[in-house]
Amino acid sequence: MPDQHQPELKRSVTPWGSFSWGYSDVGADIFVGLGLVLGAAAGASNVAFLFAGIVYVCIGLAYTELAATYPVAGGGQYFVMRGLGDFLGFIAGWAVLLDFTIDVTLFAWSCVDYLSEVIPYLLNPIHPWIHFIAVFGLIAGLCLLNVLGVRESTTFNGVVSALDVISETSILFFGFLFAFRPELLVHTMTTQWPSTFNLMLGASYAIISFVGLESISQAAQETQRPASIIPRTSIALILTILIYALAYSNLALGMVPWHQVPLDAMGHAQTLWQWLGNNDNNGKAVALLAKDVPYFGAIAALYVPILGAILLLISSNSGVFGSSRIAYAMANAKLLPSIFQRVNRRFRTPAISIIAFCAIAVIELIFAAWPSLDPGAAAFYAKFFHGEGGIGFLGDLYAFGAATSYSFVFLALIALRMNDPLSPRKFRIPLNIPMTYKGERVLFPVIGVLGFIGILSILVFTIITHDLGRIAGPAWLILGFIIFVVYRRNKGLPVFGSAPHDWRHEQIGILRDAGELELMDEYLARLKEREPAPVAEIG
Amino acid sequence: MMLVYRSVISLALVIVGAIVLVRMLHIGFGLPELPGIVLGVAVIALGAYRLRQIFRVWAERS
Repeated sequence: MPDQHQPELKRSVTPWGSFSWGYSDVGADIFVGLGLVLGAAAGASNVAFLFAGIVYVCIGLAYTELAATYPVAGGGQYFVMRGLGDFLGFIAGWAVLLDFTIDVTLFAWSCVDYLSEVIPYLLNPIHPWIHFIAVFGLIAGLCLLNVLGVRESTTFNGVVSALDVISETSILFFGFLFAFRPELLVHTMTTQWPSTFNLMLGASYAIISFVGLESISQAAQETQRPASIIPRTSIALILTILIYALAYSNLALGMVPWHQVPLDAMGHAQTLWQWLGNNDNNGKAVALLAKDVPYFGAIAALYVPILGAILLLISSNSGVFGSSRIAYAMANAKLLPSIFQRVNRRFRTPAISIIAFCAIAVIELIFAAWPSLDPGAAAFYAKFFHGEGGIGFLGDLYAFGAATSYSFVFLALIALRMNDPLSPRKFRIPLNIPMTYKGERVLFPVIGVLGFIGILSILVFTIITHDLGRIAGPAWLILGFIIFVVYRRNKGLPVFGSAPHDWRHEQIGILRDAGELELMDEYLARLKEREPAPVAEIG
Repeated sequence: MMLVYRSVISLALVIVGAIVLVRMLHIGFGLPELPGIVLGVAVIALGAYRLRQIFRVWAERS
């Protein structure tokens, strides 16, 4: 725990702020994910989104319950540490850190892709160095913004999220009204069904369209009355994002475009979804789709690339915010060196963490952009990684990190239900089996098991189908393991075991700091029923 | 103001869902049409869920 003189993160995030942090992160994913999934899963893109979407709903419910019960900045890492111990908590947190740093780069990259619709100098295939410098500049700018403070970013997020909800609803409204042909959707699904390998690839890319719920739990420590607010904002977020992703994929497969689709590189005719999913367009698929909605497309062509770029920039910002906060929480829990715990006295932000993880994001950018900048590197990537680079490389790692951390979160959910039945849960995932465990009545979460099977299958799909992901992802985990072992040995802490934690005392502190005094009283009363003497001492 | 904004969005979602559902049902009710039908129902459900929440807030305020 930080010492008494250490400045702490301030609780400045409101309900709409909490929603918009999540929305700006998860909502932007479809801007990147749509093109990647269409390119991989072809006529079954909507099925890939549906499968990933069902898993995502389970993940969302798990996060909602856990973040409302334990509203601390660590999110998934904290839940896993509390449920499964320090070592697995570190692995989960380290995987989430990979995701957040990828988030910074991936969305900054896609932001520049969307801007290239209005500024052709930014087109990656034509001006790769300008594209690279622009992405680098965005990451550096976000780093500075986050060092200066969270409040400004939250207001900015809120306004853009509101505009984006209007915009996305308008695209779908006019798209389904004027351009959607149900016969075409059925025809595409029937004639363009992909191979099993491509369907698995599509499903693993589809999960990246749903990554970002971590942001809400990250913001939990800075949200007012989190146990009440988080369930409300999370459920609204889960449903909104799911429906948008399903609607976009169905629209893309069944839409007759307003303008003629350009011929492909070989001079052959192609359909709209093929055009959106190719390597030149998959980073800006939503802007191109919007442009081809009859009538509305004339307006959409002017503003959707810019709005998309802003939303992607915010999503990139969520990555900076999230990575610094999770590192702060991990350092607090003695999983990472205490330097990541330091809060800048002037701005009250974890400045060192922010700068460190933005630097990692820049390294990832270099690996992603390398093939487009250097023909020698392009040949190397083509030989060993089937030419995966750019947005595909980032998507690989994003899917790997998400699937790894979410797998542990489901296990933590089950473990905490069994081992910590006394903590008040203002929101509980439905569908539970009542049982007795260690003398306590507990509710076993069936959805937790189903979600674990679902996300584990997506992790397997990712390892099978992603050439770079199956190397770079585990390499990141091994690097983290080495850092963890060196740090814990230096501190004289167990590597595979857990340091002593007084969870009950800590839970009281968490609820008190969050302003959830009723829940704190409820928790104390339950403790008192079981162990009157020690609880009187805590009180 | 926020309630008006959210009401318009929710109403638009219900209309989108209805359009998708009616048009999918018009061509058939088999396995190939299922994704579209599911989408239509889901969009209507989301819009209706949001409208219900808005009415609840509106009733509390008035």
